[in-house]
Amino acid sequence: MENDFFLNPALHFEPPSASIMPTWRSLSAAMEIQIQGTEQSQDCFFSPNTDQSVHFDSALSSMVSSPAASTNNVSNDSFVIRELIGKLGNIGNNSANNSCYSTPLNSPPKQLTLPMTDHLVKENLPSLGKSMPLNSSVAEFSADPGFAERAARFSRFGSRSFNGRTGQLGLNNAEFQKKPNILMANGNQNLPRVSSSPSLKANGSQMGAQENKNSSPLQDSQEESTISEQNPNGDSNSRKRKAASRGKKEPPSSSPSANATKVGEANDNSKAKRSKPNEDNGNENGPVKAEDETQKSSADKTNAKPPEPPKDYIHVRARRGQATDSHSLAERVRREKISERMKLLQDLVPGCNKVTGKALMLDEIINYVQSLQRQVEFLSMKLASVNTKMDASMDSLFSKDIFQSNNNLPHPIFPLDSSASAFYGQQPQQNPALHSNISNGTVTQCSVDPIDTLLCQSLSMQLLPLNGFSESVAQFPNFGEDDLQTIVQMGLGPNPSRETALQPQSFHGSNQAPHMKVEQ
Amino acid sequence: MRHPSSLKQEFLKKWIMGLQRCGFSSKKSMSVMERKKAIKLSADLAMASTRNGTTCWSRALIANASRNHENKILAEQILGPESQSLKKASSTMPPVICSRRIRSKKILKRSCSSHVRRVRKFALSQKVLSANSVAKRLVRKRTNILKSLVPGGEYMDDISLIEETLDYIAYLRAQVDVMRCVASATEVVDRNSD
Repeated sequence: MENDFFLNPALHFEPPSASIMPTWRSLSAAMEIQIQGTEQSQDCFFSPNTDQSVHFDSALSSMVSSPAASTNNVSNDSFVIRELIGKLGNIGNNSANNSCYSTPLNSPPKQLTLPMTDHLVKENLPSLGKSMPLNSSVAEFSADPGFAERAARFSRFGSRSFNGRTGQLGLNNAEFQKKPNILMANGNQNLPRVSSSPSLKANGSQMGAQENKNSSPLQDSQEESTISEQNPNGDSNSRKRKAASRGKKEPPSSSPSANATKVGEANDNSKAKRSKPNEDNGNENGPVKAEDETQKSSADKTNAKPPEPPKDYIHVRARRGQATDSHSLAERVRREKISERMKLLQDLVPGCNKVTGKALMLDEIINYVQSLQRQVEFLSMKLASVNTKMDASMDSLFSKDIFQSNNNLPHPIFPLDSSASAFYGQQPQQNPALHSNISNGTVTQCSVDPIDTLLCQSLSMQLLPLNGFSESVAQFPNFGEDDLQTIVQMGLGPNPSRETALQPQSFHGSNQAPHMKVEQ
Repeated sequence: MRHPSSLKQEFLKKWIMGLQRCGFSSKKSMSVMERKKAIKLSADLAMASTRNGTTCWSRALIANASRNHENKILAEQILGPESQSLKKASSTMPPVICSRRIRSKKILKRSCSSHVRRVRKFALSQKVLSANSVAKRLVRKRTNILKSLVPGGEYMDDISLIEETLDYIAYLRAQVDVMRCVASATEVVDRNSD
């Protein structure tokens, strides 16, 4: 009757979830690199898997190959990676802060040699020095356990390389924890610290990434003449860096030359420090700058200047025609935070990665939330409809029985393994829950299959107080005799007519008939 | 910090406990709608309690459930005695505080936007429908819809709204998965009983 009605829609619901899962997995594979930044601190709770590095490498190579194909420049790892970093933007910001504020990762470091995480995290750290409010808010965000839960959700959806990344970052954590202090104190001092990293080239690319990150939030305030008038207190580091970069970048143009000299003198040390590690990165700066510009041009409306020939310094594209007051800076910070979160949401919501733009993504998110809520309504209605029979006494009896029966259940269950496990294979996650819930610590050392059947039967048993389907329990002969008898007796109470036919089978404890029924 | 499957375990545990507590095994036969409401409510509260009041939406969910008179007794029953702290956390009325903040924000916005509007009108009088403003309007509309969807969303600013949405989506997914499994288990049971 109504059960049939509900059965059919249920089938419709099954495929979407099945189809969603692969989509999520492919999504996650593509978004791994984005996710990895956010997942760094929360990954310590996952045991590392061996296939992660493979996935990560494949994902990375797929992402790397596309930008590499588009550029005719020298394709070295760091360049491509820097492009990726630029494209991915600030996604790792939170993660960097997380890694700084949270405890060090517990999982053992893996031997992934990708410098990717290095860049991603190190590039985000300069943003710490940008603005204190950003730090505090991100710190709050990182402390949010809900975020960790989200992170856990991300990993569940197939991005299996989290642990690999975690492993990598375990190595870097010590460095990272020192970084924010340095950054907050003085952004310029950060640079020699960076230059002490193992590979100089990596340094250069990191520097490039850092410089990009340093300057990118500040590019809204680029009237050259206003540099000297700007507020020295709040963003002095960023301003200095910006001014220095602009000064270096525009020696041919006459107008900023005065400014450049003026500001450049103030920033001599920083320039000198910067130029040192960057001397071997001349070629990389140009493409970095170009990439940075292309990245920023979409955000900026006024990006007038063409790329300059590479100097021994990371050039930062200055923005013109944008206000430099704190309001717009705060606006920008807020915008970036929102975009970060939206990227996280992209991973959760299936089908969102193809969509760009806030409005469309919000649309997708709204649709998804609405569909999930509707599913919950439907499922709760369905569960309510199966509760056609109620038994008052069953509840207490069942809770007692479940505790008892669990000890008996494992043994007779094995014959039922093959058939039932197929049925109940879809509920692997609930099994530990029920087991721990029901047996209160008397968890037996069963293999997975017996646990499946065991717990799903327990699940059914627990549902019986709600459903009143005591007769269905009688079908499972795998209980001990005493349990079975009590169950059948209880079942006899409200529904004598339906019970009698099934009793002989249950009493005999034969597995055959119920076996076949389960196999249906 | 929760692994998704442990989240589901906890949810299931609390859900079943809540269902039992709300007298599901009682003698009175509830109508389907009542049952459905009880199921949904206990599921919601179970999930919200797993968050232990750390997220805004969970607090709002509990607050809404407690505020609604017809649900109130049921909700209290379901939440049980150990959730007193939780109820207190949710009843400190973050909505009130948030609404105050929202009101002050709106006042500030209004005062700023009037000035901005004047400036903008002067500068962009020709481009009434600039792409930027259209996009902003669209985003604004959708944000409002999202705020109505997520419990307690009206009191949040954009950034925390997105965070809460993330959490809420994770919760909804877990809930749907668990409920689906339970439903299919009952299906199997039904089929075998026929």
